[in-house]
Amino acid sequence: MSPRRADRQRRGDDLAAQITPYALWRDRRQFLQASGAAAARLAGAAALSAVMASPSRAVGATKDALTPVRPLTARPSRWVSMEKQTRWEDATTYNNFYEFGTQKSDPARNAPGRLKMDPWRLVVDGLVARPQTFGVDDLLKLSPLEERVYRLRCVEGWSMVIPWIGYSLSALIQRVQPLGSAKYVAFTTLADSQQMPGLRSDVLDWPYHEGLRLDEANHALTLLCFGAYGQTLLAQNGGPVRLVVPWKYGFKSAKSLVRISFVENQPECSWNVSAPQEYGFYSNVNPNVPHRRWSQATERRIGEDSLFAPRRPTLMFNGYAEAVEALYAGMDLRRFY
Amino acid sequence: MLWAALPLCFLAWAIVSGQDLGTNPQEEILRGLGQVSLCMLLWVYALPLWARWMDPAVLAARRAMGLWTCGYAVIHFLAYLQFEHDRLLLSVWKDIGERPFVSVGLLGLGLLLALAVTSNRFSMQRLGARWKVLHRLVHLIVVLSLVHFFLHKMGKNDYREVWIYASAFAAVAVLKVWPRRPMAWR
Repeated sequence: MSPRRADRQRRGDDLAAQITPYALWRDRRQFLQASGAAAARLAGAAALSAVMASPSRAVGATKDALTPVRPLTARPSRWVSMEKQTRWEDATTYNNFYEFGTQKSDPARNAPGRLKMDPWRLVVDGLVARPQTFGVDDLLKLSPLEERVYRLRCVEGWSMVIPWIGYSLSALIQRVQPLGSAKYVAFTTLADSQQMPGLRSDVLDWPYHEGLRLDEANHALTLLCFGAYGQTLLAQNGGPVRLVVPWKYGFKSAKSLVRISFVENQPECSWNVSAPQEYGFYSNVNPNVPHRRWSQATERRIGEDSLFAPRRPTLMFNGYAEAVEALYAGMDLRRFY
Repeated sequence: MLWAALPLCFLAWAIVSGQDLGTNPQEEILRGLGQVSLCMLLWVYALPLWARWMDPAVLAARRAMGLWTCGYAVIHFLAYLQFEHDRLLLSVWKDIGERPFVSVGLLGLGLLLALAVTSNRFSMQRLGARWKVLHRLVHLIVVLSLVHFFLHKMGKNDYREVWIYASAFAAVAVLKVWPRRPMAWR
């Protein structure tokens, strides 16, 4: 082997050797706690938080999970953001899943021990030639699983980069054969008061509804998602099956789906119903359409940058403009927000 | 009055020593400062009740408490300026048009500053009877703060905390007004 090639090989090996084994990286919290360092940090944060606001970080993202998590193998896909991925720890402890509470730390605290992800039924009905009910195993066999690293932009002005696992929703759509009269797809999240303490609050009308236009649902980017970070979805991330629509604000990516219906008229979407002037049906990420509570021109990438680092500019369609802008050609996006 | 400095000390220590402030520390800090400001404001607002029913001596701390409240509100504003606008004062202007809750907050802050800079003997002498009128604005400031909080929480339909603060304010306001008795502290 030439010296240069040996050099490259050595550098590559060094790089490969620097990659922390997944299990250790995932469990580093436990590792740190054992060494006592994290205990001191948590005490400090707890003290501060007691004086200020409630902390957003919940300890033990996978403790007491009712349905254990398993690894998922997926082939790589063309949809891979080259930006730094959000740490698993952050993506699984900072969530909006109001069915389990309105604090960011509530889903990680409440969902794993309550949400029963097995067995699970996803009903696909409405204006289709082949309505059917799927179990998760049926769905996993429907199409090869891919890993897609998508940006996720929350309407609250923060964002993450998450390696999801799933396949294009279009594979499922092809299987059920929508009729010509089907123009929209409606999604429904589980709403079980036995499992979900947040249902007691009237923050939203339950169950959580979302919807897409049929062409949006058929777009290659729209993901029917079963996993993240190389394993099945955690309860707080909307397991066992959820939607991910990366060019729209995060609330459009409905979690823990129990029903997908093909309909003729624009379906009701929970946030749109609760505040129609703020949350439009489309809710495409658009830095030019302001929001009454959060700036949509900039965002904060979770886990990145130091405390005083500047915010990042938000990209049109969350950076997926090239892929999706054709869907909205000729539409006034300030009117159809 | 030194206990009023505690939240600020915690925050400073946490930042300087690189403590884990959560997944979205900028959000935590901004919200936390807002909550501390609001708590202090309600506490100052309720002080005359405490004086009336418990210990008139606490009124001696009223000025210091008011100044601390204003101080925290200013730091809350500075945190907003830093974490939402990266210290660009000009983009605050855009917010005034686009985000009403910011306008309400800025108005409340402005009034609070007016009260803070006139919290001294010199101002009382210069303004005379108008000083009392000016400082009655505290009622408006509390209301504006609650509206600021409410309008912010409206985005997520999550009013539980707002109701807690609003109930506290309502209770204090009602008790302050009825029964009325002349206060003998000045």
